[in-house]
Amino acid sequence: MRRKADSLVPLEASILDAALDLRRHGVKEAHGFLLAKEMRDRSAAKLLTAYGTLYKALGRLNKAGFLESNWEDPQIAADEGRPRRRFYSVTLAGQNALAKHRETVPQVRPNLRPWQAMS
Amino acid sequence: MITAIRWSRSAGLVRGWVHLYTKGLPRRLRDERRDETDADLWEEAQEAAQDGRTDRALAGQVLLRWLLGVPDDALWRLAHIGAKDLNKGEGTAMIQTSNYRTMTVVTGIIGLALVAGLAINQVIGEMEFRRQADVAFSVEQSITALVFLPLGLIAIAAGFRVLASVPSLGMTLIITGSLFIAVLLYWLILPVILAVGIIAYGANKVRKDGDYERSVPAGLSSLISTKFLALTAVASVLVLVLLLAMFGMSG
Repeated sequence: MRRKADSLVPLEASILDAALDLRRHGVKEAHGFLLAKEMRDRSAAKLLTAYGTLYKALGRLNKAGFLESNWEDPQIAADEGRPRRRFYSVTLAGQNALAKHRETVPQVRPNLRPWQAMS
Repeated sequence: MITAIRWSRSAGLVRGWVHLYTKGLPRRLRDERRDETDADLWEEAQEAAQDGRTDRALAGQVLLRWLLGVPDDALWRLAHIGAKDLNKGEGTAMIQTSNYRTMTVVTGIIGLALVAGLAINQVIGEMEFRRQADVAFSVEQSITALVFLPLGLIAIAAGFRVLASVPSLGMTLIITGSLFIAVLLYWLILPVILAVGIIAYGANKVRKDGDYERSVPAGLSSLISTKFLALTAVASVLVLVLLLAMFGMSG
């Protein structure tokens, strides 16, 4: 079944949620690993989201206009001796999509386990 | 930074996999996915070093994250089949739809010949078996045919009837009806299914997608287009005539 363009699956909602939470804590842009880490910490999971799952979801959110991304200056990465990072930030459309998603699924915060959401 | 052997091997495996499934993609798309995975692996190792995790634990986590993501990687790659750079300057030629079609036709002819050959072989073998065993069509076979064939045809007709208004029900009916007939005529259906697949592939549209062009897998609209039905009908008739000719010759 084809998904609506503005609909979110729980993982995508979690990503947007995590990015907004990071923003509230002063991190305006976050790279993929930081988002995965934030989602893991918030859900008390042991494992980070799988590479393929995470970057496929980020790609879709980016393409849908819910996230915008930019690559850091390669020189900065080279100076620090690490691969370059891609930073994501939530757009207004992303915030609206998340709000809409929460209206549809009001009781369950996507980054909580079912038993946590019930308490 | 952890420089342990197990982590290096796991990270190498992940990088190898990413290189494999991004092979042939437009340069930007390919490099972005590779760089992003590289950065993730690096950050993960950094975090593990800060937390004092062992090499074994980190390598295990990397492997698990890789394994769990493989289906999504495969789906992502499938979604980008046919993606080519629009910018010739990037070194990748623009997609040529006509090339795709030519390739499809050539592959289709070879594939059809092979499958038709197999089907003919099956028919001749069965006839030979019957002749040797001196048995005609049994009553059971006739009853099965009398029940399955009309049921299948009715389901297919009903499916086409409701396809426009209720696509999911229409497709279900068509597929179910086809399966009924396929049970009886699998040797004839096989080449037709192949022809349908090939023609559907050849009828793919090309869509501009940001900086890329990609061939879009044939959707329902392509499957029920006049051109598609006409081509399928011609292919089916050709295969049927071929099979009947062989039938007559061997009889």
